[in-house]
Amino acid sequence: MTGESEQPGDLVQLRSAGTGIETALEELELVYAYVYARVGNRADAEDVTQQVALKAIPRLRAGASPGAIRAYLFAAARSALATFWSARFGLPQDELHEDLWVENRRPEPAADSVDRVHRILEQLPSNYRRVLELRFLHGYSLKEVAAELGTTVGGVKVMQLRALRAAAKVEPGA
Amino acid sequence: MPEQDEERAAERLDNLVGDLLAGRRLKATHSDAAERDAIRMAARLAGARDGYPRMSSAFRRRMGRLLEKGEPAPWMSRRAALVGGIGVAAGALGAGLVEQLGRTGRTTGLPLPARHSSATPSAETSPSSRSVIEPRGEVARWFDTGILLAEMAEGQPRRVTAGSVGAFVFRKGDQVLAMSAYCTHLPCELTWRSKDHVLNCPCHNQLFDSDGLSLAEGYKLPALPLVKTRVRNGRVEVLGTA
Repeated sequence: MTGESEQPGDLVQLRSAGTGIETALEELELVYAYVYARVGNRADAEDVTQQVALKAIPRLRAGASPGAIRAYLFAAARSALATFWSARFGLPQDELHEDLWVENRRPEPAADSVDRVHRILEQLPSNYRRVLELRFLHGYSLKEVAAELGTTVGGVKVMQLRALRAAAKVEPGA
Repeated sequence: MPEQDEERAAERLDNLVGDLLAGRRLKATHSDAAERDAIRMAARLAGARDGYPRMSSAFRRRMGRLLEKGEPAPWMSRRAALVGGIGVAAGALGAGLVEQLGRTGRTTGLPLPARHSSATPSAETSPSSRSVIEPRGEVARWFDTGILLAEMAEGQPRRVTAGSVGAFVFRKGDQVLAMSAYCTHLPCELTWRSKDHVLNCPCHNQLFDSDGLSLAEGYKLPALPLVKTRVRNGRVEVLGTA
């Protein structure tokens, strides 16, 4: 992953505080993209991103190194996401941590999240893959999916449920 | 009856899916806990529709104010440093292509790119009535889409958002062509229909090809306005608004 190969040595200190904010915002864009890839909508992604920003400010003041800041931002993002899901489902956070297999890796760029979704889809039986592709990635309505697959709207809903359950069981690292 | 249970679960899940696909919040509640994995997968799939989401300009401004009030130290890397490691990607390609990628560190794709990777960027100056989205100077800003040209497949566009500009980016040989993601009939958002290789407007079923030209029979709609692009260090950038 080329996006992950930057070295701490590449990082440059900036003089102007104004530019500092701009670059801070670009870091926050990465957090936002990471969160958006998981919650799938803007409003929730903004809420979670804002929590991360609030949490990170004291750390920014302390003048940590850029590499450490980024690691901190993503740790904070994962924890804020766990809180988000935990509040939605009324479950303890430790059941809802984002993919433990990612924990030891560098934060994935947003484009990787998309690749990962495609890798998951590839591993599904073709009818499941088809219904999810049409509905989510191609923007077909239920009716259009039903017409395409030669079934009923009710049938599509049930297939969508089964397909999403199956997709959730796919080991994406595989 | 287990079947009825399944139908109920399917109905409920589809309500949540419908919200996500319409850009609304996820309204899952405690009673959805049993389907949490399926719901989170649905959110991931919905999130995958936009490969490189950016904060809205309003939200970005809000975050800017938040950070400013907190007065963070000038701590971050330059943008250039954020996109480090490009050499690794370029190294994997043939030298000729690398050279061309290097040369395309400029505005490309106006009004139409050279179709067969001609190295002369004369397409840029050829006259055309095709409209081009050029945000006024104070707000114009290049967005790094995070997309590596070398990793883009021909015939498989990427949907990007650059501030207020939404665009589909196509690879055309060693160049990129970006066009507005909104129908020129009425401003509905287009979707890419990969099986037919067309952009489709769901509102009135209008189709556009990968050059953004209307495929309507009879009266043609105006072509999709072009969005300015450039390739910097192998990464695709799009001109949008701050």
